[in-house]
Amino acid sequence: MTDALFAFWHRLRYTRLRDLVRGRLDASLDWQTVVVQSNLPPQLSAIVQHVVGRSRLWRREKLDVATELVSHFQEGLAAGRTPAELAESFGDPQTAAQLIRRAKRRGRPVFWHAWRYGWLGLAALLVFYVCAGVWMVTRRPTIKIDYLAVLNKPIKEVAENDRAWPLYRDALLAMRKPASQEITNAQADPLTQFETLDIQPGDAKWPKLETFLKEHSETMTKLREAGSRPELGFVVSTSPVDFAEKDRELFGITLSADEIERKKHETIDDRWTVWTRMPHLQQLKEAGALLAADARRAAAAGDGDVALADIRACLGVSRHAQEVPFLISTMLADALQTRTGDCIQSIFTTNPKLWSNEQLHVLAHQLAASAIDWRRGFQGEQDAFYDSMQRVYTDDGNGDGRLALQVTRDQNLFQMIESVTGGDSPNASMFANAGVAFLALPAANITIAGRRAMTDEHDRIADQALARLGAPYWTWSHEPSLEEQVKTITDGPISKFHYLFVSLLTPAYDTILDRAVTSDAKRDGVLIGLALELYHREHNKWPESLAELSPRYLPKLPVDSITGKHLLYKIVSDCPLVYSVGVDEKDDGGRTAKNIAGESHPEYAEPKHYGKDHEAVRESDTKGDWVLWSTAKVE
Amino acid sequence: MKLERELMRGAAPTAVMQVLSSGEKYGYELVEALSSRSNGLFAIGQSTLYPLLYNLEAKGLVTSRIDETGARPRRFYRLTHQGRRKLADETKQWQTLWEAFRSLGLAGQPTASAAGGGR
Repeated sequence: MTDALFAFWHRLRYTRLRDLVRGRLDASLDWQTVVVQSNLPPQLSAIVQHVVGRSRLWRREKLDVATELVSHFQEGLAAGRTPAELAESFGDPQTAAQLIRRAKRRGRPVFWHAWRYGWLGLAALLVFYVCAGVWMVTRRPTIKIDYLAVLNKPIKEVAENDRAWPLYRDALLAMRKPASQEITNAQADPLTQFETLDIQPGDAKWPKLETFLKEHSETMTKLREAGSRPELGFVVSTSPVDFAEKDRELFGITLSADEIERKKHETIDDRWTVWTRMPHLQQLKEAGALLAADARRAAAAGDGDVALADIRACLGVSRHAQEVPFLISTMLADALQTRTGDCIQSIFTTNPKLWSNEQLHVLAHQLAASAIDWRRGFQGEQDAFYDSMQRVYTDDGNGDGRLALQVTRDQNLFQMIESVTGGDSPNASMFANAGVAFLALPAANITIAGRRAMTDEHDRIADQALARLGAPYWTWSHEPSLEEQVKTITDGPISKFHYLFVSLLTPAYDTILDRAVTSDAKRDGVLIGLALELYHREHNKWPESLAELSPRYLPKLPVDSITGKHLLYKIVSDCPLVYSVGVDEKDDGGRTAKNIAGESHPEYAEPKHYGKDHEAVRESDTKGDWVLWSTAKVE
Repeated sequence: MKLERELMRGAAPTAVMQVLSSGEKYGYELVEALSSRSNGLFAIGQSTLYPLLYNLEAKGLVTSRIDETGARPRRFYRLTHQGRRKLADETKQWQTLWEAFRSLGLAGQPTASAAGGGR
């Protein structure tokens, strides 16, 4: 059976395809049969076998060579020469095999040569690629600046008595029930009973909040004291192990054995600035919301002193939130300040005589000095970018470098990118396989821009953002958005990788710049409102124009940040209304923007880079004015 | 007399093409003609001749056909048009070389057999 199968396979192998298709298994390509059937003397037959067998040619080529050599020897024998003479005149069979192989291969079709050289080229490329990979893998990043340490240095130097954070922490912890097996951390936090603390007197849920605030008056006292301290003094870190035990209790963090163990072996390689944990921000947000709510409570009760103290503490919380120089902190500070401004406005709407003139002056001075430092947040984001660059790229000493493979103790470059972009977890990633990561590194270095190019592109966008921050809104509001610029350089299947880190690590500058403009304008609105009230108290009437407020009540009259012209002002129901024309740059008489359903959306008129599909832009009659101060009802 | 290997490497293809210029020949016939017409100088082994023929065929200077009408199959080789042009060009070069050698006193007058006689 085995022999029959072997014989069948042999015939199959040596049959031409056209014969095979016709069902003829004639093994016509079997050159050895030709040699055997030639009946050459063994010496000559052996030469033919040796030459053809060692030639490593295609079967058809072997058949041709064998047939020709057999014919040659047969001619020689027929001419009367002896096998020995023919063998001697033939030459070295090994040399013949090599030369015949070389010559026959030259005569093969063009496509074969192209195929062969293609594979050779590919092999050469592969060797070069692997060598490049080996060279790249051996290069490691050089971390020259510990940005996190630089960031924490001034915070660590704050005197203990100047730190607000311990007071915030103790105040918020005092509000909570101790967590136990029966009570989870969430249940221990009494604030979870309120969906939001932005409840106004007169709302259905106001009595419950009012009772709560009264019950926690000691907490409120401590929060006010915290808000008055000059600095926050919270040292941030990339590891929760570095937080004090009481801090972790407040944050609801339980340390795992893995985290404790990892901390023991932590090096500067692991302290990426972008991984800085700031759980204190949530607590500051709560503190600000509590103080604003208490200010409303105190105002409703006619207690101007407590209301003012609460408001001033709110501004303190906002100032503290900015201590860590990241935009997320700055944006929280802005949100807290905006809430404070809204609180002041709501108090003036219901009880404009709550505060004395002196109290209004104190409030105005503190508010005027509470400008949000957006530049600080921008700088923090830039430092975070530079920190990331020094960790993923090598350093050639001239500001340039190539991507490195191992970027932390536990993760390679690709695992890190996936974790940032929301891909697989590092251990589940295919790049956890060292071989895959090694093979991907040269391709990454070809596709992704080098260190200098990446940093230059980032700086180009960041410099524009900083320039706009320092310039009036109306000078750049019609220029191309920065996010569009980032999208342009990262649009496309290859280009999206070329400036990968720019697209990943560049903040939403347009949104932040709009907020910066909005923040300043709203603050100006409140300052104008306070000045108007002071004017009204002195003259028993409202001014004819805002110009009358300066310089006595307002050192410098703010302008409309949309147009650069004067802000608009009118009296409605014996109440002042101060407004900007809004992004449509048309005076709508102080009417706020509405959507197509007629619902009021005042934010539509604020500086915002809406996409063209946004509801506010699609509908034709949704533009309105941007109201900055109003204690009157408007349409 | 045996030629130096490098000399043979340069001269052998021209010699083969010259022999084929008089008509197509099969391998053994070509070996015999080369040897006899060159007074044994071009008695190259078949381990060299057949690779040489395959190279010439790959370059398009010769072409081959199989004749199975005789007692045994024979592959006949003949010059192509391109081969004839190449042969003419190389002949000119060898003649120029010969003239230069003569001027240098390295060669006497060419004999009738060495100049392509024996056809």
